[in-house]
Amino acid sequence: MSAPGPGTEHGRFLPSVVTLEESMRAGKRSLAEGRLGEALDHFNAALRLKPRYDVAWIARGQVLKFQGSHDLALRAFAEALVLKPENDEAWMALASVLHGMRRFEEEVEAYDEILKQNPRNVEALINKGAALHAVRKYDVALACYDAVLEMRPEYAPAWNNKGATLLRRGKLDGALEAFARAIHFDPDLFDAYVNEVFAYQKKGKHGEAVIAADRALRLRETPWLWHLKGLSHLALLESSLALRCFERALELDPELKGARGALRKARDLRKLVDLYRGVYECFGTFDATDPGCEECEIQARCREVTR
Amino acid sequence: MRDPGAVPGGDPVSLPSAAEVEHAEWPALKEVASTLGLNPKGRSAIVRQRILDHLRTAREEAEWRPGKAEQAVLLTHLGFADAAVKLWEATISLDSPAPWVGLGTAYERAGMLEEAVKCFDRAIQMGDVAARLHKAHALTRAGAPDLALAEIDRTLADRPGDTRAWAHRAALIESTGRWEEAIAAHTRIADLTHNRFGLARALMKALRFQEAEAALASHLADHPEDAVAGNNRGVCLAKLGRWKEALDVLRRAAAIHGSDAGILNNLACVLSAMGKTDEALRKLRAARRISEDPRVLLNEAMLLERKMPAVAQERYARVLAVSPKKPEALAGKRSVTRPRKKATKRVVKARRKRRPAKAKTSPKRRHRR
Repeated sequence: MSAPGPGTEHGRFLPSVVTLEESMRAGKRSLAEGRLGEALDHFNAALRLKPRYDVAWIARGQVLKFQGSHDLALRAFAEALVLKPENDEAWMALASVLHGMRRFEEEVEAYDEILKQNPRNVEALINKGAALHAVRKYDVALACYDAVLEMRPEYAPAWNNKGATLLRRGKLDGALEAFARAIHFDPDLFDAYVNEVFAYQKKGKHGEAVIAADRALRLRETPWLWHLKGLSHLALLESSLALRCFERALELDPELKGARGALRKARDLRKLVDLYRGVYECFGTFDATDPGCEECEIQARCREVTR
Repeated sequence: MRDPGAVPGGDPVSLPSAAEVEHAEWPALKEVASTLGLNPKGRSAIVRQRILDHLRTAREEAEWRPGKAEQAVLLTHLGFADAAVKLWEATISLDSPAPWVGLGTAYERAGMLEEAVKCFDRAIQMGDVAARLHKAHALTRAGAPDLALAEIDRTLADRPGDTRAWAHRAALIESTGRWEEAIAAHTRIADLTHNRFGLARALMKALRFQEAEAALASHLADHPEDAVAGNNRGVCLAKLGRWKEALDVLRRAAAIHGSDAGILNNLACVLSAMGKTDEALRKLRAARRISEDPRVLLNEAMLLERKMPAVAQERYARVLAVSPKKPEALAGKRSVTRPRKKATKRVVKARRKRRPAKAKTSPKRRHRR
């Protein structure tokens, strides 16, 4: 539970700039060290000294947000905005709380307020795009990402988000191109690899999906990603590899939806067929013009499963 | 039998550049993969990606360890002068003046100014012209500004275009209050760097606001977004009594850097002088929200004295909480706490005194006469 809020006239004393600054500093220190309760006390003390101090309201809101009190955090940021309506930081914080509360329409309005003052605010634009994506307004979201990429063409998250929106609209080639750019600019962007897996699976290119899943798993291991990878192995008739993927997924999350059924399917398939890729990481991505494919020892098998 | 010693392990394998890998043909690509111990089999794009991933992750950054000289520099700047002196002594060589400069600086930080001057002399003998400026600094600290000035002049004789030396000269002369010479030095710096801001500040300090305003106007012509210069120009214009121009210039500066409490405070002063008290109060309130500067609080209190004495008193109290001996705040607080009747009289008297002065410059008043 959070500490009592500021504003009680009873506990007020002569405002002093030094004391106020000390309270703010102590609050920020506590916040940085993760002592949320203490941080809140310090910011409350600062607000008792100067109730119309927008910075302190924002800081208080941040602490409350970390504590999970979204409603109180929202009220704190709103208070900061009453004092200084043009404060970007407060609008941004307000939007992030609204995002946490899944109030996406209002979140978009908050970003609009920021963009009214500074239409080139990249963070606001990309977040607005993400909020619009959540409410399925893909065209407007795309416009936001394009605006970001016009300013910062090397910004990998914007490429990734653009790709995700294109994927939602069924434009698979455009989406894959966007993900490739995101990965080019940030080779450690986990989300872009995962989105690539979805796009390739949708396109029926399971060889490429396995490669993307492998690269994503090297960055972060998640049960659902193992499950996705297993599905692509199944499509490539690699039942042993698929089996291993589903087993790993269930090891990480025994309750994972669909994994048990997929595991059964892989077991059944193994009785019929089980292709072996050996050292060929690119199995299922056959390209007749590629010199590597010409020399490949399992070319026939690879041709068979490549679509 | 004699031990032949360890067999050399050879040089570490140097990694190819990413560009080389991007453009390598298939046979070269396979060879690179094999050399790096990577799997050379598969589609060429995958092999290429494998190598690029390896280059990205395996390229370890060379570890940097500070040598004695670097440690000495760090210790000098961190204020551990004694430890720095020992390290500098260990780095001294016959052909390099730099350690002597470092040693001198460390001695200077430790307050051993005589030793510092000796070290700088040694560096000067070895041909380091910049060491003269260090020596001048040490001499200034030792209370010998004339000797310091002589050293700077010697540097300038060798290198008349050395802006650092001119800046040293200007600062030194400014500290002695010889404004004409300081302005001459700043003029030289302005000619060398094509930046007249320093000159303008010097002219302002010498209370030559007319020339300072001209210098700032020329600076602003090249740097129209410089809010600080705009603020200073506004102050100059205000000092010259050109209130309307001052207001325009300060408004522009505030538009560029709206979160500068100093600009807002100056703007409020000009507005108040033009009789726009309400707007001045608004600006001061905005400035106070940014920074509770005693200047801002005092100005606000002064404007509020008549209208809202209780609030004015609170503002004075805030100033006094930070600096309890601030004379303006003490005087202001006294005047606010005085009985109301007397205070009214005081204000009336002040008005009477002020009126004829205003009337002289006011065409409206002349017309009435």
